Amino acid sequence: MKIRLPKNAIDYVKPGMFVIFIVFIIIRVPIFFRVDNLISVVAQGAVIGIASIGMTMVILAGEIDISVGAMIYCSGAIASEVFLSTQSMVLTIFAAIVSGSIFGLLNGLGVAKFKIPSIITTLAVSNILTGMGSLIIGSDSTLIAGDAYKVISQTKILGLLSSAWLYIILFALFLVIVSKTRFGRYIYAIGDNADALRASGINLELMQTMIFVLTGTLCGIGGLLSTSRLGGSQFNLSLGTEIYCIAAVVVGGVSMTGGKGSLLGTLVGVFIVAALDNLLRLMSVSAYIYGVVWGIAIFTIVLIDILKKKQDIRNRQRQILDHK
Amino acid sequence: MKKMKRVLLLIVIALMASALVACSTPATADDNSANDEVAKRLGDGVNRIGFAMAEITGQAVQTEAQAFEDKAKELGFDDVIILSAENSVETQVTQIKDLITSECDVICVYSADADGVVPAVQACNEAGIPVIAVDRGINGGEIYCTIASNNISDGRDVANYFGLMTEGEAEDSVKVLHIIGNLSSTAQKERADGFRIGCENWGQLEIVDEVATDADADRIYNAVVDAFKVNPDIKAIFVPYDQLLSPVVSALKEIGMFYPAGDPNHVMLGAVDGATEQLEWLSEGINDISISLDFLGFGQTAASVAADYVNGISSNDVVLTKSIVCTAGNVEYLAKAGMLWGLSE
Amino acid sequence: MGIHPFCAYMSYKVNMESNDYLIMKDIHKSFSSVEVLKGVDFSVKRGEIHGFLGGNGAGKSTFMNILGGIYSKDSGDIYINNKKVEIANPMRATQNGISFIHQELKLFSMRSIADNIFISRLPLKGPFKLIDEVEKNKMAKKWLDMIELDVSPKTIVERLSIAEQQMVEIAKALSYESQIIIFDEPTSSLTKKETQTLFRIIRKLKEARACIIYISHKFEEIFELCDRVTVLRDGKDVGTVNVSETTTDELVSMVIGERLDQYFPTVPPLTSEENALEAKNFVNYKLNDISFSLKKGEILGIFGLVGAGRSELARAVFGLDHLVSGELFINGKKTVIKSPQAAIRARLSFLTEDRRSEGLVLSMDINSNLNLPIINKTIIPIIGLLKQRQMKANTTEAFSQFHIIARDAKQRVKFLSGGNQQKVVLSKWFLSSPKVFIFDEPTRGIDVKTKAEIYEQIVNMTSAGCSAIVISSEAPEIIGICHRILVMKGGRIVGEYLRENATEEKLIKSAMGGE
Repeated sequence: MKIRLPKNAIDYVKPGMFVIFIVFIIIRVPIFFRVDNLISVVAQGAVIGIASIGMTMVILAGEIDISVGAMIYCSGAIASEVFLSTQSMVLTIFAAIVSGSIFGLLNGLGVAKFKIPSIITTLAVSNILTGMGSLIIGSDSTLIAGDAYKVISQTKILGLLSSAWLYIILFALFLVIVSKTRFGRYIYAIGDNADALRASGINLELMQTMIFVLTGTLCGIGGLLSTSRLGGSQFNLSLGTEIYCIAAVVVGGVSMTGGKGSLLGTLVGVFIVAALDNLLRLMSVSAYIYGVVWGIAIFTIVLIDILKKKQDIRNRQRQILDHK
Repeated sequence: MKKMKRVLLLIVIALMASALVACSTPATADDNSANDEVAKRLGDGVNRIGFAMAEITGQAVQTEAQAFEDKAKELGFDDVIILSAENSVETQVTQIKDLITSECDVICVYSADADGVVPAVQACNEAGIPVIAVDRGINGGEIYCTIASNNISDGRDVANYFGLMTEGEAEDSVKVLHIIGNLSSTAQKERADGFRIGCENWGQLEIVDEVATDADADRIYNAVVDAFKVNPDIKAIFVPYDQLLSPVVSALKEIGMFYPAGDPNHVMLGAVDGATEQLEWLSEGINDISISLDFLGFGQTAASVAADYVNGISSNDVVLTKSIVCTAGNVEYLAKAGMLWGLSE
Repeated sequence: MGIHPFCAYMSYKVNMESNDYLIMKDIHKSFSSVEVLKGVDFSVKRGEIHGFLGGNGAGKSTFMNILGGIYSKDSGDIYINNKKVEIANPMRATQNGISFIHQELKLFSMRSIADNIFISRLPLKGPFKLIDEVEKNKMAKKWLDMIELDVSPKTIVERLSIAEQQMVEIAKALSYESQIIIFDEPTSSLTKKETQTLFRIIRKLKEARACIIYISHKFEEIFELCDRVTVLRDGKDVGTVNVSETTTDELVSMVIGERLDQYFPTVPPLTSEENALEAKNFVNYKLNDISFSLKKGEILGIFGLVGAGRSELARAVFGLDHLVSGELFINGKKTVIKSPQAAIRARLSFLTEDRRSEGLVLSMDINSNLNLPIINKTIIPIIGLLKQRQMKANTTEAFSQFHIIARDAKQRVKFLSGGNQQKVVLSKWFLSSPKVFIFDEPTRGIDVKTKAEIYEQIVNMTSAGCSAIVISSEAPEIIGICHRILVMKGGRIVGEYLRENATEEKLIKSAMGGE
């Protein structure tokens, strides 16, 4: 007699794991649920979260942007430099947003206008921006903009840091844009069937460019926040953020081939990525094991989703069989 | 559209070509060969020396490169070639082979990776060119001479300072946060080892947390914030090199744990390098100790060992440069004496 | 139902003097110095269903793509309602009241029906211009009702059957209130019933005085539906005839340029009594206890309507679908096939229904595609490099044997016509020298001339000792080339006929459960 698992065993794996995980945290690292820690998880996740909004749009449209980290790095360096030389908050914010948008435009033109695959375009742009960022920071390898610069991200409003508020506001704004506007619908449509969208008379190139520009803009804001938090910039700061963003987007259930998924999923993904990072630190996991644990956790979460999808297909087939 | 693409392609090719030309222009050759301190002329009659550096960005390495070039010319080398591998071992291996081809008499290597660079060292051995390892050790091949700082002792010095400052406190009462930088850097690993050894010598010091950060400012920042949640009474923090202190300071400020030196709540900060910024901080009471490495010495020693070789004078296998412990008390004097690369001029 | 659903069309005042609503005059088009269209004249009246016929490479799709704004013409004029128009892009086509319902559906499979219909005209509301979902679904529902598709407009398109998806395309075309609607082989994946629904809707459109252009390879449909038919051959229009005044033979000869006496090849009689393949009690989610056998050298037809489980049977034999129970015997030996790799090892070959996505790597050239199944044999051992010369030899052989028409072996498969793609698939599998061929709809979307060539190839293979299973929903085809015919319905085999006593009526009757 074989032990038979319930038909939809996989359905219970994720909630089950979640419960075990929560219990584990309560016993092992109760600090995690302390309000001040949760608040700092949101703050720690803000930059990744803001960049992930852009990454979600890009991946929904069937593309990829691996220049996210470099865009944050370079626009952050520009913002710090501008603040250092002008001490003007308005100019600094303006510089970060505009520079991010221009970087995004580079990506957009490469992908939409010159039809270079996005992975190549953004890789090239990533290299350019990494170099540019380092040039701006200069040979000192740190660029200190001063404590006044920290006001942008470190002001506390109603118990939350301004960077967290900014993330919440941007998230809400883009949630509406992606799910409720024409532009949002086109993002999904591009990832679904770009040819069909073009045939419907929609300016595909413009839409693709817009997606990359917006991602750049968001990264500009991300760069502003990440440098403001540290009070300046530093060599290679935030490089590699795209990996966390892609992880958040994928954990959030967005299809890597585009067309399917939502920003709400990404929100969950960002929280998981930020919380995991925070937890591993709170538990002081050994330096050597840190990466291993992180990788396995992300892999497992995505694997469960894929297994669940397969199960759904099998169930549908079985239903047909039962029906007969 | 097609024409446009072609034009674009041409521009890209032109840019790449010009970049290549710019990169391959060797460091300015000195025509003045009147200096006859180097008596023996090897090979083609030109005394040429090459320095393959992992990177050339950052004040410290620039100091090192400049000192090397000045000293080498002073000692009579006609041609000094300095190459930067932008932290890529592959690039460095190629560059070292280029140096062999251009018939350098001695090749100095500030390696991008202690193991990865070994094949290039072996190629030098085959060509009969001596290799001098500068700043970082190399884990294979025949190394003529290694010039380095004693990283273990640098790390230990910081621990000793923490220990001295808290002497008399109860056993394990001084909690220490150890930030680990880049695990692939031998120097940073050795400093971490040295720091641990040092802490063991002082009963009151206890390392409560070691965090891997890949030397990423953002992660160091988060690490400090989170570490204080678990151990709110951390009294000292060690980072592997000076520049990683700025995210630590920012984080301390965010969680309200930043007090200048002298305040009873002050959290001691220590690092290795002796960078300008952090040396200046010492007098402001932001950090407590910085170990100034002798980058000037690295460059100069490398050049003189090379010159000795050309002149037939042998040298030790390992030459350790002296690091200088800088604190608020002595930094001004050391700077005036011109002993700190970070505060020269 | 007081108001006629197509009242929108009725609002036009009919110009009685000039009957031709769409006129295309002397259209020329060349692709890199190859002249594809050599001056084509074409016209359609209001309220007419105009058939459009032509062989592979006759320029049919190029011509229609010019009308649809996908290609631009080199010279010639297009008049709509006596006004000269330029159709530079698909959007201009839509603005000129032209809708093109493509053979390969151009839908957003992960979006709802309503999104698909209104993607370029999403209704907005409020100060922030957000999408008005309610209004959008209401509007979509209206058009779905019109085409008698009883599903919610919120349904995600990938959950619909192919036929329903096609209906969505039609609803989209109608929603643009197009005056000219081009159907490109709309019935190739529809069941009989769905086809009838489609025809009813097309006739309604005709009543509403729209111009319908109907591209098809199926003569029966042309005769059933169309008023006039235009035939294109070698980039020229060979003539337009009234359907009521012509015959199949006349149309066939117009298409291929000569009278086709021998449409089907002579099928040699069976010589062997041995079984090449035998399936016993196949059961899975779609198959309901199926057993059959295939003799050596036999061509076995499997007939049935779409959804009868024919393709699923082939997939199960080939190891693509799991079996709940069932046994398979090859050459009398019990064989377990759980993957396509195992099937290829057992020397089975499967030409899938969907040759574009399953049978070919579209972006690779012909040479690479041909050598794909035998890639292991064209690799130099250990080194792992491909034996280019042997691959080329294989390709040359295939070109001559299967009459593949292409620029050269380096041409990428996606630029070939449907018939030539099918020939590539056929020769590709033939190179792996299989013992049993399974063809799923081998001539779908292929012109008469190429069809005849493919029939001949199938028969040739079996006389060389192979056996073949031919799955088809075209009764004449299956009677024309098979020794024996099985009829499937609802995952069961419901009838078996020898070639001699099979007729079209009998097959269709038993497939529909009429007996």
